[in-house]
Amino acid sequence: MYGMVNKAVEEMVISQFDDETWEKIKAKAAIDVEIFISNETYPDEITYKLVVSAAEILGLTPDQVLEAFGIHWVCHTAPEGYGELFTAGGKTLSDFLVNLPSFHSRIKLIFPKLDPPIFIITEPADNSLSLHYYSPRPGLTSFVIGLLKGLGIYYKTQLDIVLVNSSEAGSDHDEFLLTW
Amino acid sequence: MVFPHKVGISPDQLSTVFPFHFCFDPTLTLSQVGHSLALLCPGIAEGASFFENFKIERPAYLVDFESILKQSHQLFILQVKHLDVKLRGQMKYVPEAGSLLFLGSPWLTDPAQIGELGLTISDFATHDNSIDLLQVLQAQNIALADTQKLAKRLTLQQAELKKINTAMKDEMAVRKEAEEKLLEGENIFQILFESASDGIVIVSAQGTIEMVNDHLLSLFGYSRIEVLGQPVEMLIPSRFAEQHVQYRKGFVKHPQNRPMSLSKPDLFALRKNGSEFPIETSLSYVHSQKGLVVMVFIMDITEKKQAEKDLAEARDQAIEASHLKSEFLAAMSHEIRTPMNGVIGITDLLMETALDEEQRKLLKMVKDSGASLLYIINDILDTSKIEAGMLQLENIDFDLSSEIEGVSDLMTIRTKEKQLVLITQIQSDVPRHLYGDPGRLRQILINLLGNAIKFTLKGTVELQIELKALEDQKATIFFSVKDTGIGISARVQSELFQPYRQADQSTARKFGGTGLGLAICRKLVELMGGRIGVDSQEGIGSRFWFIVPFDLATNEIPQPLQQEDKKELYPSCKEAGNTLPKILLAEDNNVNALIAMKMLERLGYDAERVTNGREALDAFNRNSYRLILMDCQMPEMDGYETTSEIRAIEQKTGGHVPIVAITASALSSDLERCWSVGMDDHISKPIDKQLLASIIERWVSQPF
Repeated sequence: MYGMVNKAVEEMVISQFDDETWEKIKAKAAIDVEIFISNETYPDEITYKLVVSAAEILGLTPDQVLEAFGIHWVCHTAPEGYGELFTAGGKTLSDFLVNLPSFHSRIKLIFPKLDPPIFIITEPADNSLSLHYYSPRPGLTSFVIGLLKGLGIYYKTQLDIVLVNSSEAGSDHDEFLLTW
Repeated sequence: MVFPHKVGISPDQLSTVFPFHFCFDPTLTLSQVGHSLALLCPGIAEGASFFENFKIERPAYLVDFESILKQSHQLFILQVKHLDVKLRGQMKYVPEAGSLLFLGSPWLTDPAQIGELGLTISDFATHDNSIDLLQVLQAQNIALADTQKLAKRLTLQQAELKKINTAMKDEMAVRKEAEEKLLEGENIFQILFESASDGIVIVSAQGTIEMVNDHLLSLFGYSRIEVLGQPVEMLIPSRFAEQHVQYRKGFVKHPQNRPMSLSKPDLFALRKNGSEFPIETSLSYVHSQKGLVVMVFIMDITEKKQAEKDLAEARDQAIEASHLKSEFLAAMSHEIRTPMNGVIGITDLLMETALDEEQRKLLKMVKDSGASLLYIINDILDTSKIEAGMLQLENIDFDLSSEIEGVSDLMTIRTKEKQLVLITQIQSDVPRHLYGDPGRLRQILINLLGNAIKFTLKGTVELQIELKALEDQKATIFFSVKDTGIGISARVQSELFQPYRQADQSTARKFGGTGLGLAICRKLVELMGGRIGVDSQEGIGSRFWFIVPFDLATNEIPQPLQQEDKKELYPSCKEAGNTLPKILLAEDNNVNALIAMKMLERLGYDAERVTNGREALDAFNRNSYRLILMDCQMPEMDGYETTSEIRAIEQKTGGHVPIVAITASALSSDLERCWSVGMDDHISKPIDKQLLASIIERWVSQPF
């Protein structure tokens, strides 16, 4: 996983709790990485451990942590990490969602070691579209939901998210019907 | 092969793949503009002039269509006028249109530029890698930010490390110093511990032996391995062990350092071989990491105890010896004085017979010699008692003025003999009734007055008594005896109160005396809590003085009856012409008895003599006596026992015959015994006729 993801987990915990809680989470997860390098690739296991540990320390479920993390990512990490480039992702939620697949395609080119998820947009309409999410990493559906919710907040748009097909239910990917 | 359909591309399609393209004809007029370029700069539109909207930065120096066409294979960089943006791309001549086509997109070096230009990713062609470039740049920025953050943290950490390092170095130094000190302290402790003259055992709060020194091991006969970890009670006799456990637990709860001097008496320790030895201990404690630790110093006091025992025995022996000496002195006192009293008494009697002048003179010399000898013997006995620490003062209520009067009367006889004048002055504020030893006070005054008379050839001898202080029922009285005698040199004055000292040998030869009198006076005054001294000038005279504090008498002292009053109230028996009062004399010594009987006869009493207590008791049972004179020391039954018997009989029969003790000494212990058996008065040997007369008269005159 991209270092920026772990770093984002760290930032979320520190901004919403404190350094001490983060150290506790790291200690519980038995992770002794001092600083996550944004563009470095880390084993996925680290991210999973951090999420599980954070859930235990904060008294949440891992899904709740992931969702919160998704929201935090969109509302804080991405705008701060990507700056204008994130803003340039689209003038509207619809624009942004449409650009999302190309965005990840570019990432794959720029960081060849990364294995970014695949997003596919189908049935784009004025107020809706279907977002298909394919990922080599299981169990991150809640994270995607958090990301989508975060986009709704970022673009100040009422966004309804319906998980039409779920990888947990046996599908090869998650399919979200998004309407706004 | 001929493809049926060549790819023809409409302006809109071109705009999709090259949203920033534009076409211009040889007149340098724009004929077609891509939608994103139009969005970027609304002035760039069909019909607009090339050079009004663009400046060709590269290739350089292109000013017209032809020159641009010629360089169309080069990379073109166009500065968009009125905007801070450059377009990067290439020129392509389209012969069908006779125009040049610019294909390119904005050259962006900062992701922020997209926003500033009002563009979004959708405004770029999908194949355009400008966005990718921006993304790389952004990644670079992020990496840079990460690096900066890391560098910052590194710097902070390094500073922190340095700080910690310095602190650690300091701490190391402090620790090293502390360790050295500890080591030094441990060494010193070890040396002191081992070199201590006492056995030392260090005991834990649980009572186990933690540490011992060699001295302790040799005291108890154990090896170190035998005692370490064992209960300390192993060093204590089993009969004390249980009590010690309780004591030890109490100590742990309320620890208190205890010096050796406060060691409990009669402590004993138990050696390995089962023998015991007396010890003294001291305790000190400290709270260590292991808890309370008690250090016990153990001193073997076997030798001390033995020394104490030896000392006690020596003291007992000394007391016994002193007691024997005391008894010897008492015996001597009696044995020497009794015959001497006989000599003097008989001489007195003899002198009252018909004698010629020569005989009287010789007898007077016999009497004086006897009196001198008695005086000397008394002095020697007093000195012996002082040296043996056996001189004890009496404490009774007495009348000072009558004592002074008595002394004065006595000394007047002697001053008259030498034709001197004796002046006695008692200041009016001197309290009359005091508490002390009148006999010894008299002895001092007689001694000082005697000396004054002895060393004064003519003039006066003056006795003065003054009150110096009166407070808290205590009167400090100053006595002085002043003469107009030969005086004493300053050299001699300082040694005058030492025993066996006289002014000088010639004085001794000329005036006689033992040289003990003043030493005795000094001791007596000191025993009374006072001081004695002398002021003197040779040839002019001396003044001996002493100052003594007396308690005031607690009881009223009955005034002795004046001679005149007595005569009036109780006329003497002789004069009254009544039956002579019958007096019993119990005295074993024939000489003393003879003297006493003569005296009684002359005083006009009907006296009967018996030689011991039993006879006296028989006589008492047979006859009625107005008074009994009872010698205390008699064979068979002594005066004390006899008196007890008489008083016991009187208990049944009623009545009370006055019994006057005749004592060899005026020791207060003797007198106490007299009073305890029921005697009424006493008179000491040698019997003074005048005193005898007054005592008998006092008791006989009392109604039955």
